[in-house]
Amino acid sequence: MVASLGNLGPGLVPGPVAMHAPDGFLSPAVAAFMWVVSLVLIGVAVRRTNETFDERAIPLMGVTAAFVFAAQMFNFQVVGGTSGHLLGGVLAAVLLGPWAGTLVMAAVIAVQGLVFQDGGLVVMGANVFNMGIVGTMGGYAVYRGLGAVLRGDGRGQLVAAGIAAWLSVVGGAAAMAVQLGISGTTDLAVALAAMVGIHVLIGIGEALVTTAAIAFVRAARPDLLNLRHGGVAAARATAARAA
Amino acid sequence: MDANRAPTPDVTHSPAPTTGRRGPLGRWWWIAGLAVAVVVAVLAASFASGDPDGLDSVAIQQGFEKAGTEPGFRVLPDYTIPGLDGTASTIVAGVVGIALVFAFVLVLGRLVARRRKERAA
Repeated sequence: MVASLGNLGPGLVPGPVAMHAPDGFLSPAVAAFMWVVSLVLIGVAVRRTNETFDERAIPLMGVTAAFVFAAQMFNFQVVGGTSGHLLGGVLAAVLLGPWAGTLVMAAVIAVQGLVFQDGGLVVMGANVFNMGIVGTMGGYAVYRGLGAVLRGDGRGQLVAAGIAAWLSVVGGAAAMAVQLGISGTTDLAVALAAMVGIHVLIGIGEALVTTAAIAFVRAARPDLLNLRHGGVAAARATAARAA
Repeated sequence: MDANRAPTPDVTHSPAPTTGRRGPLGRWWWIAGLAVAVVVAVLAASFASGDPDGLDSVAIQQGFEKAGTEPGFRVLPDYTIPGLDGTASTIVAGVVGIALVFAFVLVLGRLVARRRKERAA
């Protein structure tokens, strides 16, 4: 991605810009509703993580969160003076499963809002849903569904992850547009067309980075992708050999 | 350790009960992972596009960007360290953010795991 980033416009200071919805974009009712939706789904994620996630894989959660945070700082040029950045929901879910993945995305978005003033606190429920849960739950379901159709454990799964990642960005943008429309901030149909239109392109970046990151993990530590299927002992053996 | 846990569909596939506290990631691997995140943050501080992103761009185009309100507090606003200028400011803010997010998620993970232990006991 870095190679295509040299075309900064004149006078533009390189560096991250505020990228998540600020407070005021959504009506209080819509913002509150999205908080409830996200809290309920986070509650489900906590319970399911509690039941299924091996606690010895917690450092992998931390590293995934750190990478998603850093990658979200990296706005890449898309077209016509517009940039985009990775969301990372599908990547987190493929590495950690949808439940721990959801907790990681919520944690990243919470820190961004609380510490970096990126994304409002009132609309944080909406940001967690649109940029996190749409990918970790919706995108992951698409990944598993497509993966089952494509079979195998090689390229087919990478293609499935790439398509799921692209869809998660387009889906998250559509969700944001619907929330903006219902809030009366702007016209729903116009917002939907504009948000989906630009995120169809931004999603290509999401698909490329997600696929590349999973391909890297698959090449370097394929055992990590099987953690949720009882591969902890094998993974520890690999780590011990490498150390 | 696995044998003492409440049986779950995923854990029951474990090849053998394992002991010890070492995680599957391994110390050097997670240090490498954090190093990759720091490199990405440095690249972001140096090369990231300053153009509005998808949502901001739509907001400007449709004239509702003014609806957004500034937060009533500032800690490290827009990935900068107050008093530090330019790329260095964003790099330091990025490293602080990586450390914060990593630590926060470790604590979160431990809290979730502890509840499981208590229930199993």
